[in-house]
Amino acid sequence: MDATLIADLLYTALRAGTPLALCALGVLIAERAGVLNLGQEGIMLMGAVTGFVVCTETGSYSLGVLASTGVGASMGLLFAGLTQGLYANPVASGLALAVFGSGLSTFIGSDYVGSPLAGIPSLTIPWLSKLPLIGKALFGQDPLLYLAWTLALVTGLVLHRSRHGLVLTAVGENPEVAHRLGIRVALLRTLTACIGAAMTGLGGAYLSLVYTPLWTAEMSAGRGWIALAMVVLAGWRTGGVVAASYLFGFFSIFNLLMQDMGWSMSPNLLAMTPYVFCLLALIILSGKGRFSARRAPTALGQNFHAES
Amino acid sequence: MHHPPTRLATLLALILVLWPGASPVLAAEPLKVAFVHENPVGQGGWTLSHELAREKIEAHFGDAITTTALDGVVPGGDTERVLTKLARGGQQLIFATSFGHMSAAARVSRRFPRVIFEHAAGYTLGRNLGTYQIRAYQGRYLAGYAAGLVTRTNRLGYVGAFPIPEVMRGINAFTLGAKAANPDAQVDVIWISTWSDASRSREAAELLVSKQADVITHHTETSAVVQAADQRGVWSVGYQTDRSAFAPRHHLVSIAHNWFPIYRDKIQSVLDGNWSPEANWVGLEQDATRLEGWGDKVPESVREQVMAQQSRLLSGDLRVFAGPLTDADGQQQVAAGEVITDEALLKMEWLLEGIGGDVPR
Repeated sequence: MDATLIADLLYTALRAGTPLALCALGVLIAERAGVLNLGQEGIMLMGAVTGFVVCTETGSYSLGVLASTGVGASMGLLFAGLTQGLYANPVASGLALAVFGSGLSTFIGSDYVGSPLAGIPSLTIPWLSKLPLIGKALFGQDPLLYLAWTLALVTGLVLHRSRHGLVLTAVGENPEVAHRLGIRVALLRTLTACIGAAMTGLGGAYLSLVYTPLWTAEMSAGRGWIALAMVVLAGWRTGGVVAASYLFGFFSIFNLLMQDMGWSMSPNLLAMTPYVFCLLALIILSGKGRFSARRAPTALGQNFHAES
Repeated sequence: MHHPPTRLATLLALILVLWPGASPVLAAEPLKVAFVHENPVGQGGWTLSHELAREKIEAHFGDAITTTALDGVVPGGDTERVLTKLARGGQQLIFATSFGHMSAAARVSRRFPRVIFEHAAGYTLGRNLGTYQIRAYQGRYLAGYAAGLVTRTNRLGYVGAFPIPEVMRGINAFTLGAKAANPDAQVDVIWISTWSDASRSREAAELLVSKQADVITHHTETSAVVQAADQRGVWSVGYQTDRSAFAPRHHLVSIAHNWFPIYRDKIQSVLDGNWSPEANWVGLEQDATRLEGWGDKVPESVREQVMAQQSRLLSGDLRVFAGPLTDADGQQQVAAGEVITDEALLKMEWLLEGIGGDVPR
């Protein structure tokens, strides 16, 4: 393997992992506060289609990205309304959102299937992007990817290094106690549901505006579901979530490369590996070993009805 | 209040309408034609090319037929259920447009002997089951020829979905065309095991470009491969529909399917009452496969040379699968001096020797 090939692979792997990382970070934020939203796939598709349509109609990438984020946030609000306001079952609500988003995005996007878009251009940071191997991968990417990295950093700091993070953890671990301490549980959960879904919407925008700047039905190809598993796999830690997402991105490029090198495996087995990986992680996490402390927030997916 | 004249007029109109033979409305029931697609039309490509033809069919036949289309009908139990429902629901002619629909179409057709079934790109015939194909490999050959002429690295990349005969024919024909123009041309295939995942297509295309391919083509639904090639500054060959809009800078050419002639002929034969189960092929002669969307940067001489090959194919002077042809296992598939049969084309499950990439099994 020559150096340009490795540089190209790194570059592509980072791009492949970014939509997943955005979605998984969104899931993480919400789940730390106890909000279990299984509707990620639908939200991501809605984000992707909105970004694409707005961008095609207005010609502005910023508007497209904003619209994706906004649509994501409003789907988060819809979910919060159902689960925090009406106390609907969160699992059923999330699944409904996934199906709803997939159907609606296909409907909205049907007129945009054949339309091309140039896609958000990459930045080339002078000098640094010329570095061998890592230059293009780290310093020649598009602005949304850098935004994703910034968001990951902010998420990590807020969740694990700030008072706000502690408050969120309290809400996710024991909403009853948090409520008695004067924390507004429903409001916080609504907020995190919106922020989380907004990031998933942004992940959708990454797909339709950067990674493959076109619209096709179901283009998220299961990333919303994988992101949900990633968060479990990473034990609800920001660093782990980001690492797992990029590992997944790397893996998806790597298995094409293996095929190209004649190191082939049945495609069905290959397609299965990420899920086997997740199952293994779940088994390890459920045990009593060193990793078992990284468990789910205690009140994850439980509705909280304040009695006052 | 009464309006006798109005009532009289209504009565008169009713008599006119109901009088046997008096009204054209009741003259002949339109033929009910249904289409079943595997992928959503919203993914473009193959399904879209069938839908474009359906629109033309409706315009062509007018009131003589009604058409319905269902997409997202995944091969397996679902196909059988949908086909049964359509047959029960009074559809008289059902087109199943995906290779994966073949076994379901064969089973359901046996249960509904009075309904006519037609299946695209397969190889099963029945008493009331016909098949139809486009000789897209002719277009593939011509595009391969163009690719062989423009490549500088002599490496051509091909993103394939599944190793079914339709895809194998395309890869082999593209390779034959490329080698006819440029004996040093090498074709590498990456299999992605999905028709419609844009990300997978893109990743495969990027890998091929990284491995020095400078012309990339695809047998997948989306335009992601064409787009990736353009952004990486290499030539692309689009498939199924004109994809040039996705490659504003470096498009070589697209191979478009035109299903209209075959649908027109099949429906006409049912209307005339002389339909019979046949395996029909339509190709360059019927304008069913054609090169569209030549890129601006393609030299005039390349287009001229490709058109010369097209004339030779049309005149029968040149055949795409002319022997000797040897497959990757070293077996001779077509002997010297012979031309492949249509039956062998339908069941083509081998790749020519020298094509790079592992075929998934």
